[in-house]
Amino acid sequence: MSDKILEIKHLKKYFALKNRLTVKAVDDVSLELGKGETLGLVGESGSGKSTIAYVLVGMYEATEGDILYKGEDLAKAGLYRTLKQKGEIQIVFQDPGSSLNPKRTIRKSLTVPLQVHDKGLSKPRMDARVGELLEAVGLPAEFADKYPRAMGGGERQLISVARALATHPSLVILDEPTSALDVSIQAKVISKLVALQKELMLSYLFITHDLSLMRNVADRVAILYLGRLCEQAPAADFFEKPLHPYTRMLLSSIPVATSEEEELKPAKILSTGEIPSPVNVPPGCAFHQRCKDMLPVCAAERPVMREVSPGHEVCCHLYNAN
Amino acid sequence: MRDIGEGGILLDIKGFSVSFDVYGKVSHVLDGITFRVRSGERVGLVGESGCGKTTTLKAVLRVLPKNAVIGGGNVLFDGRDVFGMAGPELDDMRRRGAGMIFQDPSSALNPVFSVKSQFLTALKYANPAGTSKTRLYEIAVDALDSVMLPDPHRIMDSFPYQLSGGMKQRVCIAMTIAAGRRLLLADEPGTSLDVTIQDQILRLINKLVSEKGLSVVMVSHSVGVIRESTDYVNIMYAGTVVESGATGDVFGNPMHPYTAALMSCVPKLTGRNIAHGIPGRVPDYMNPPAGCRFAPRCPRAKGACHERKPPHAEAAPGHYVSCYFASEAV
Repeated sequence: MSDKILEIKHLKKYFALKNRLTVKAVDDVSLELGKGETLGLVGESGSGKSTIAYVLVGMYEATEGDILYKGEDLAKAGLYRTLKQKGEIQIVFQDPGSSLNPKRTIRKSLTVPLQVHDKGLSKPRMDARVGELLEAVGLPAEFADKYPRAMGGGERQLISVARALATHPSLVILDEPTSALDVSIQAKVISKLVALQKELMLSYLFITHDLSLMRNVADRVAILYLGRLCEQAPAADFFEKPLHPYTRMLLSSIPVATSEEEELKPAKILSTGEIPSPVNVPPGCAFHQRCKDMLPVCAAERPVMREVSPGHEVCCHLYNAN
Repeated sequence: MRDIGEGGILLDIKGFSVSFDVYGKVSHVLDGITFRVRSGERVGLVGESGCGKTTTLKAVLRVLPKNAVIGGGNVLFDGRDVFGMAGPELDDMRRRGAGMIFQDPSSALNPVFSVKSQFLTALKYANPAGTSKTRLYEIAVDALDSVMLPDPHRIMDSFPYQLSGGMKQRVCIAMTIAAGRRLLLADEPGTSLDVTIQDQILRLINKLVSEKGLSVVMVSHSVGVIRESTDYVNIMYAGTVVESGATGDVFGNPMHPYTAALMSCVPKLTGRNIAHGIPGRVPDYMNPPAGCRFAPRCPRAKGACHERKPPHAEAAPGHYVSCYFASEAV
């Protein structure tokens, strides 16, 4: 891997509920991200993908663990980060319909981050920056005076990307950026994101539940299940040799569009059972109740992450012996 | 792939058009939709949002909004015109003929009534008047059993919020099949669920088709879902069916430029193929193109495409395409 830009070590984020229960939304997750790299974070709903994103941008305070960003520990700063630290890590949300203010023109939405992070910028310079940002995401300059409602979903999402770029970030967190879009529009947004990454040497933390999309954009993939990491590997390795039983169930369950892809899926593992509630995570391995390869130890002892081949880590008792 | 049933035609939609009256202007949505569903057959409708998939399903149950205007064509359920049915006949068709399951099971079930109370109300109308409550309860429990829900008695006493998304969707399916309906209209049945749970729901629908001879019209925006769980498929674009045929043929050899473009945009497991999308935008329904609705975005469009709507013609055995240039390789 190229030089590390982000290192998350044993991150935990717990939420306390009223009746003395805790939701362990993120439970001991360690991740690394290199400069210019895309790390795909995959998981089903409630697996803690977005919680990790929100902790990284400083919307939530980490319960425990370290977040080393370019050597600085962001977890210690909690919610009180310096302006520079805030500008360095930006986020694009899933639904541009609700993350853009409907009463602001695009120009206004794009100037707010400039007013905060580029204090004292003159009006004409500000307008020029707005023009540059729109150009960067491939939208015509006329869009500056439109309202979000006058645009399509894909264009709105590109505006969210432009807004994230306004502060010159090095790390952009993409939280399901195309889940609300149709595939033909998704393709436009994704190809733009890939081009921007090359141009600006951005690092992406790409959160999605769509594994086929992940295959095409991620350099490395990490799988979450109930707030815990199951498996982490370089993308090609991950799709060729999925190891964790949950990963294999997930990969064999995805509906694919062509017969060539059918052959790439692992042997069908019939998905059984329900995803347990995050308030009541099973003891031992969180997945053991749905796992067909369960060993006696799985119900008792929580497995630890171990590297089975270079860069390919898996958290499963099946891979302990050798 | 499953053998395709040779049963009778259960649903026959012929040249069906619907427009909507929107504040004095007319939005021409469905434009001559034609397809049929035999008994025991699984038929898919794929297309992007706003292409008229759900409107088509609503037309089958005749639950279109009040501002809908039928522009022509017929929807025949079991040989009877749905739009010509009198009140009691229509009620009967909805109670025992065709039923719909929706994308979001949480909003399809009423949060303030128990499953039992909702289920029995639905069954009360679908069964002959005077059927005892105990009998209705038995029917409901049997139905919950057949959708593979463990402990049906406990489910009956639960409220929707006590059930997970997958369980709620199973309850919705059970309510639809319990009355002995023959046609299941499934509107994105797995879209709001997780992948592994969606897989369970789709397998359940397939099981019901093969065991009970149910017919299914499955609507989805996901090419993958439709490819894996239907026998026939109709590709929809802007209120028209642009291509139809056996699922394997259509996805294996797409002949309409829109189908080909759509297929190229779907992210593939084979990797590193980032498409650039389809240029242009979906047409404005207030003022749709006179000819083929895809013509303004189509790389192959020539004069005729912009003037006259192409016929839905057989381009290969059993494979229908609405395109003047279907025979040219895509």
